[in-house]
Amino acid sequence: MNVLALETATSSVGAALARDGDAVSSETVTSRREHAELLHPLVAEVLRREGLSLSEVGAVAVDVGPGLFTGIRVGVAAAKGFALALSVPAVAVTSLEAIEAAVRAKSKDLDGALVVPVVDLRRGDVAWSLPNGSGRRSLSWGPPETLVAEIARVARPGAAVLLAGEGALRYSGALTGGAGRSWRLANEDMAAPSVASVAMLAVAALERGDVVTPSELVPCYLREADVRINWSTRHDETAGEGG
Amino acid sequence: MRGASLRDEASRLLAIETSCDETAAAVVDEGRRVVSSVVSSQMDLHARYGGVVPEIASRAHTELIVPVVTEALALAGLDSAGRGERPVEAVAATTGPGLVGALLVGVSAAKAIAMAWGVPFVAVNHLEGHLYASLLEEPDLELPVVVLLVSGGHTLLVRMDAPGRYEVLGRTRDDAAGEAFDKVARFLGLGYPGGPAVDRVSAHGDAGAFAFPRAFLEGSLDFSFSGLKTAVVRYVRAHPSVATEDVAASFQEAVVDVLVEKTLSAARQARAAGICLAGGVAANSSLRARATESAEAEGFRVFLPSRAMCTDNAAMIGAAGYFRLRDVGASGWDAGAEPGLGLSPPGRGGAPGRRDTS
Ligand SMILES: [Zn+2]
Repeated sequence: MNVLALETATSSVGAALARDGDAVSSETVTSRREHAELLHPLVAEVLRREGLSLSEVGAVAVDVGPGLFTGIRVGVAAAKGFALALSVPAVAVTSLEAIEAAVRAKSKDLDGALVVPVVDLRRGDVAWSLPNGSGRRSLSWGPPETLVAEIARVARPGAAVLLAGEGALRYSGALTGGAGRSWRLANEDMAAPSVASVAMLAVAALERGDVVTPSELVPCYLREADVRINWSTRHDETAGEGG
Repeated sequence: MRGASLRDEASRLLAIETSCDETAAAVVDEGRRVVSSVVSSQMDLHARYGGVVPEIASRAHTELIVPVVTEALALAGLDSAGRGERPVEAVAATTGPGLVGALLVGVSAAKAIAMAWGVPFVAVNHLEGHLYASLLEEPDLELPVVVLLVSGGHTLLVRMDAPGRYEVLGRTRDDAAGEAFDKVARFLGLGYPGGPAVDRVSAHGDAGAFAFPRAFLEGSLDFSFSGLKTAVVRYVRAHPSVATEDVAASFQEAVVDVLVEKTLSAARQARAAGICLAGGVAANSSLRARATESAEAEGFRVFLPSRAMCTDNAAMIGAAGYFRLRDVGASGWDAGAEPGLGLSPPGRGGAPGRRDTS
């Protein structure tokens, strides 16, 4: 089955095609332009390159976050549209899973290091995932100091820790600065949750039957909506009025 | 027949609207016939905050987009499971003006649906959509007409000569009419949204109780409502015991006086056959009554869209999308949100995708 994968949860935007579960073709752009302006042309481009039409796509996967709220919604709304119009299942992949998978795929020898994917949630917060003791991972968010404490709680003393993702890069000082720690940062090219990883994780999810309907596809925001209304700027923001 | 040119064949569009706090989808034939129209209002989600909270609106649109589109397709008898088929000839979505995060949900979903079905995507200006409300309900409407488009974000007077051919005659210089209603309602403690609240309370008040100022801006078809709002606030602060319903009714009367007088003077200048109201404030009962009475007294025909067609809906986006596709053509897959988009006729550099600075 051919899987279309979408990535818009962080500052890079990507589209990928996994053909029958193996070869992955992907296109990624990092740009200041809106995710919505970039995503659909990338989908068209990757389809053109692979000589596939959307009617040959059997599932649509998307990075549902955590990450940039607006970016996540662009990807999720597009995935919903594709899956609905093609009548195919959707697959939700988190940005943290995608970063972790990219690190594992690109690192020759992790040597037992604890891989910690970290996404920037802006406003001083990051989101991360850590092993929760039951063989799985739990998602959390908060300031970098909280992440430091969490890693210290989870990791064996002196264990190697590999931090990856835009959040890790942004707060590298706070995250790796502690004395006597063997905590490293993954290369910058692993900072973004690669769309190829989203595609490969989706292939695995499809094998497990881990699919959802377009309406069941929900963003992973972690943080509640900010409900403050800035009355001084409201006029501009609601230029489209309320009906 | 599928795949035929829009010019020759009956053309069916799916339209999506998510510019503010209504998630809406519709199926429209030939820009004139509404096959289905579904609107899911988020009003209740925002009421407790006294205004539309952008992040909450965007989250709700994301949640509602699939159910609303599915319902619109189902009501139109179209199977959304159109694998290898084209249930519609094009997909239209509002790209602006509006809340950027909210717009992006509809645009992203609409472009994906169009791409999946292999049909064109059309970026639609929300304001242009409002202009078509009357035509959808009155396909034989005699043109030209002057449309008064009044909402929470906009107050515009537009002469419409034909579908796709119109000109902006006047616009507000400060607050939109609906914004003035919201602000005065909030000040008077009448709740949100302000328009219906003021309308309701005014029914029990004396519209002639206080002579609030009317800014007629002689020689111009522009509007200004910020002075009126300030006058109301100042008066109530100085006279705290006045009856709220009298203040509301007198304020509403002042707004309606200006709106009606300006619309009629535009209709005279434009030698229009009639006038139309559009936008959320067009649901105001006093405005509807006074516009009808005054216009008929001068021999103009009046068309008042139903309340459902005044407020935001996707049927009007489908109508505007049809004519834009016919006159300007499809939009690119790189279309994004244009939160500050203004109103300018198609084919004159005002196509969505470009910011109108006029
Ligand atoms: Zn509107």
